[in-house]
Amino acid sequence: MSEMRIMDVEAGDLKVIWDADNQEEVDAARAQFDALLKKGYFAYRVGEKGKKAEQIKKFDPEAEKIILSPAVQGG
Amino acid sequence: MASYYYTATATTTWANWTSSGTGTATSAWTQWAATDTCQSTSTTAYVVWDAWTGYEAVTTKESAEERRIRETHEAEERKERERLAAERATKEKAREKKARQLLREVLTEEQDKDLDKKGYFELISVGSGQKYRINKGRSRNINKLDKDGKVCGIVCFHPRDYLHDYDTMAAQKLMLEYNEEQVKKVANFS
Repeated sequence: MSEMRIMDVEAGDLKVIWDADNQEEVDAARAQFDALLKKGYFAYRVGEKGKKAEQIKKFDPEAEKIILSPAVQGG
Repeated sequence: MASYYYTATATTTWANWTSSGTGTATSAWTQWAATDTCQSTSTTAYVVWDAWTGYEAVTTKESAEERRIRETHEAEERKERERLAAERATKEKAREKKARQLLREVLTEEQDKDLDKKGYFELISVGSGQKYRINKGRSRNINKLDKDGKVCGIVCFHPRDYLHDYDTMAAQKLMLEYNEEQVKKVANFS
């Protein structure tokens, strides 16, 4: 199973889970991913314990974990 | 003694008084209290007001039943406020727990320990090799470090959404490590 964690003001973060072999689940996760990137979110494919992370701009159904964080601004 | 007029409002009374009197509150009161029936040491604001304006101050007398209803209503309101506060606290605690867990998942073990022990963790940007320190917080919480690990500047950026501080720190960490170019576009450096 793969998961996507979406940082959220109310919920802390929202978790979306999909099975890479289930096309319907993959499509739903991909749609959500694309919609959030359009809104300015940044996506990172992350490994275990903060290792092997990288920014991604295309949905990867095989990713173990993807974290999405909202657009940023200068403080 | 200064002359005064019996008028309906404090503003006009005061205006009349001071325009024809000596002009200051202290002297007006002194003259009033010394020459009229109201004594500053033995009267109340209501009495002075009544004498001054010629209008009786309106005071309401609450019946026992009215008091009971008011107190019941106030107790219910207090209870509801306490319930909402407790609900907010529980929600905030759950939000913090989730945010801390997510941050833990993006930190190395060493960074995680540093955060608990020192209140900050450090990282190196994958692209430039620049070292940063992220302190607990949301704004002005990032230090730029020199090659010796000493603070040499402040970097200020954060998610537009008002996330929990731990989520903000996770977003800052991922951006500084893997998306530093974007940080340079939006952040304020000092």
